[in-house]
Amino acid sequence: MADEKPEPPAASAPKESLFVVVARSIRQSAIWKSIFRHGYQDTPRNRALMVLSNVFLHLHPVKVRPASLRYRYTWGLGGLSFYLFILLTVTGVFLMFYYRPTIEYAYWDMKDLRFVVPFGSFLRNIHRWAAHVMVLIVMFHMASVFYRSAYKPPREYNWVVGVILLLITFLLSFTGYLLPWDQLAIWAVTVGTNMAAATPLLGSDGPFALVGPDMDARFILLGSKIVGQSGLLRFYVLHCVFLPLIFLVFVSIHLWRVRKDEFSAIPLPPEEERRKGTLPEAWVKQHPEELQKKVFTWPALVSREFVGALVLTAILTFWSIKANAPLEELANPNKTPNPSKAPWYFVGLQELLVYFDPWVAGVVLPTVILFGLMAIPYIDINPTGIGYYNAKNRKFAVSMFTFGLVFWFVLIFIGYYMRGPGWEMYMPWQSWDAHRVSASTGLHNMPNWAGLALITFYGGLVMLLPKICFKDFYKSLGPVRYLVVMTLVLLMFFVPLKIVLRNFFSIKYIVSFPDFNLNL
Amino acid sequence: MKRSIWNWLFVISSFTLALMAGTLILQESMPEWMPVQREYYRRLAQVTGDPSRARMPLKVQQIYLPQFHKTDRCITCHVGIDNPKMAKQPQPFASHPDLGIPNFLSDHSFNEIGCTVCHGGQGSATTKEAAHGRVEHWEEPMLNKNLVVSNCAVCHANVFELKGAEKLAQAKVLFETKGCIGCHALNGVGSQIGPELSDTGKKLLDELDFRHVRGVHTVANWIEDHFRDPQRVVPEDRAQGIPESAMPNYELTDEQTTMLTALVLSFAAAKEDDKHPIPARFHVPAPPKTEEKKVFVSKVEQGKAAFKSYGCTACHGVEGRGGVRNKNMYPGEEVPPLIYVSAGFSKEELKTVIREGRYPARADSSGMSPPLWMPAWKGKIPEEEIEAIVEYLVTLHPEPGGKAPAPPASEEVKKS
Repeated sequence: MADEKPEPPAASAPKESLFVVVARSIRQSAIWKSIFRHGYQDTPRNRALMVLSNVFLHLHPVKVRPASLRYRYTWGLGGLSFYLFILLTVTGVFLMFYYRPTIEYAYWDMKDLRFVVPFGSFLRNIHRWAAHVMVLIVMFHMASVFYRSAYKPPREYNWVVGVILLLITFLLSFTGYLLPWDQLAIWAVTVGTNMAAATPLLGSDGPFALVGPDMDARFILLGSKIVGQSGLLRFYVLHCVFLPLIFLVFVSIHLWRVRKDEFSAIPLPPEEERRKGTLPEAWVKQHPEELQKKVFTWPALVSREFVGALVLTAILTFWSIKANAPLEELANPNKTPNPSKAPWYFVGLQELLVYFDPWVAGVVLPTVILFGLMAIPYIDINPTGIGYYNAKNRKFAVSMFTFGLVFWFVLIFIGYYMRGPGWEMYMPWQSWDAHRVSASTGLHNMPNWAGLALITFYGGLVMLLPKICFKDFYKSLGPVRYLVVMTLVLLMFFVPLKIVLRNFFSIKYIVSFPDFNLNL
Repeated sequence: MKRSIWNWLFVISSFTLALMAGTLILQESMPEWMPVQREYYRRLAQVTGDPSRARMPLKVQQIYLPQFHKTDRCITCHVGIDNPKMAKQPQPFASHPDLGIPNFLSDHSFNEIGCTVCHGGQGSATTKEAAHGRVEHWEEPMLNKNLVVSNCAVCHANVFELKGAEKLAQAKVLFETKGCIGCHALNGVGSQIGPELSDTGKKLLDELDFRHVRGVHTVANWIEDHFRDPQRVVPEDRAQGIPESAMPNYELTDEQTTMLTALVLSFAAAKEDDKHPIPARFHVPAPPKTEEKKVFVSKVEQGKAAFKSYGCTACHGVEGRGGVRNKNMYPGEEVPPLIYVSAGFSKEELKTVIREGRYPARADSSGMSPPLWMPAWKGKIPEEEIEAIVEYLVTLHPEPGGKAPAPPASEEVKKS
């Protein structure tokens, strides 16, 4: 690999690194010279052309600020997400050569991949593990963008596109989950799609249901009331055609915007300035020339991206050789495994089914989470912290987001590792016991008047208290933003509140209107 | 971050990636079955004296069974299954024995039936452990030699008269003399104290509790071990409200245990399987049965026969002599023997108990309810036969030295 600095390192460094010596001796060997007669001339013009004249590399700017190269800034998560998408597309295409989306063949095609297709096991394993890793990395990418305020102007809309991409990533993974057609697949998807049936108005089991089970939201997803042949075909088409296509559309917007808005990273002040408490944005204002210091993307950034992808590929390859992707028994709609768990990234929502009716846990809360995430750049008007990690000057935003994020993963952990048969609580080291007596007995509902009073009190408290106590907070946000922010906060803390009410006060519903299927 | 760390990362990960690619290619080019097949052809060349056989191309071989919706790749290792010249070879090279049954091999063409229909196991697999089905998430592991007979019932409706399936016929006799249907229903006939038997062999592994089972975790082994010692396999678990297994320990011999296990598995095998339906052309129907009406010399003889055929002996003992444990039952923790009934009950009372059934009293009122109870037989035993059974029961008398409880105790039961 070529060195970062334009001048040869030998001139500045007294001792040459081993890599430079080896690379040079390779480049000067007779064999190399016989193949590459003149080679790549390392001039600024060529470095610019490498990016400009290549349609793929052209996604990058020609030059970037050194701050964006620090791996501790982005951890390469955005680039790795996109790389995983490419890796999944390639392995997915190979898998499509062998896979038939019918309930007759799907499972046996999995077996054939495992036992007779050359490299079939490896292909399926790497596709499966890369998909899990992609979901994880996309979530971490979002978190890292949040903590370094990269969603603040002018990048608000790109954050929204990012949330859409997060959703598509979930859906891609979820639709792929069904395709092996084993017990794990159909029951995880049954859990997921039953939530669609709980949609208010449009789901047959939801509150104020307008439609029956043969024309509701779940039916549209599955083409049937249960997970069967038509569901498999729909999920296959969504997984292989529709979702990758719209992913590609949104990811193009996403990357193009990143290119147009530049990387968010700004130069950090030197150590002594930072100790004095100078914020990077203030320091940059005094030293505008720092913003102009840039290095060529080729090779500085491109090589880092390449190495990142290479390391990830090595890890995934190792993982795929060591561990086989799960394949349980052939799907059997008549034998429900106990417990049936959703894919891990949805298990947190499934865990909430203990505390809420499906229409809340499966429809309302995910919708609120998605729209809440999309709203973040428009309700967070604090201009501090863009382009570096800063929690000190954005305490409210960071604490709320961190609470939500940690809570999400805690729920996933509980649901995935601590729930056994009958969705009973087990410590991870305890063995499951299908006959254990249910722990949740003696639950009762609050009387509706008390429940309504409690909700009004809680809502009023959350809405009014900050307005009275922190006048500046209200003033800076204005009434509309304040209303949105506090509604999101209110809804987020309603979840742990309900968990406490159920576990410590044995309250099942705060208010209950069984006539409308509406319970809270 | 120093530039050289990126260089190191590049070199290390390229190197490991190349290494792993090599491993992968090596793995793919040396599958587990390959040396086995090579050894087979070496032996074949030796047996036939034709050295060119040793150079046969090595490949995955399979029997495609579209009718059963199966692909059996067992013959990738068991290549010589249909080659009589390999009869004396050790496994996996041996040919299939004819089991001493005339036309057995010609009637059961491997090309049409394959291997797993009879033997179980995972036909699509090409590694030993996976193919023999002794892996997680494969619910039909290969059946042990003595249990394969149960799968004759997959096609043969008249399995109990089948040559080669004598063990099943013997087990059937045992099944009847022990009175199994007194507690278990089979295809709807029998009572509900124990689980329905025709489904037991098709249970999924996680429907069964293997905590107290010795040996491998397979459905067949669970059944076998439960025959050996029902109370060890299903002990009382008061915390979870599971009563101990109600099944009496019949102290069966190992041979009886195995044949009864095969019998229970054959009930499941005979049921139509929606995963792998058996095509109609493979069904061997039973010859039409000529129903002969049995004539009895007396009402008492008829009752005696009915007593046996409805499985009363399972709980009340042979000829009503009792001796079957019923945990926490009052009195005596034992199913009441019937040798005293003529002293304590009128004929009408006996008929009522048979028709309506009865729940026993608990010895320890805080304990779990006794696992066995008298089911209501109304509608299951014709009125005429109930009468005959009662006629038979009143002829029973205690023999000297019988270990039955004293008559007054039965009197108390009646009152409670």
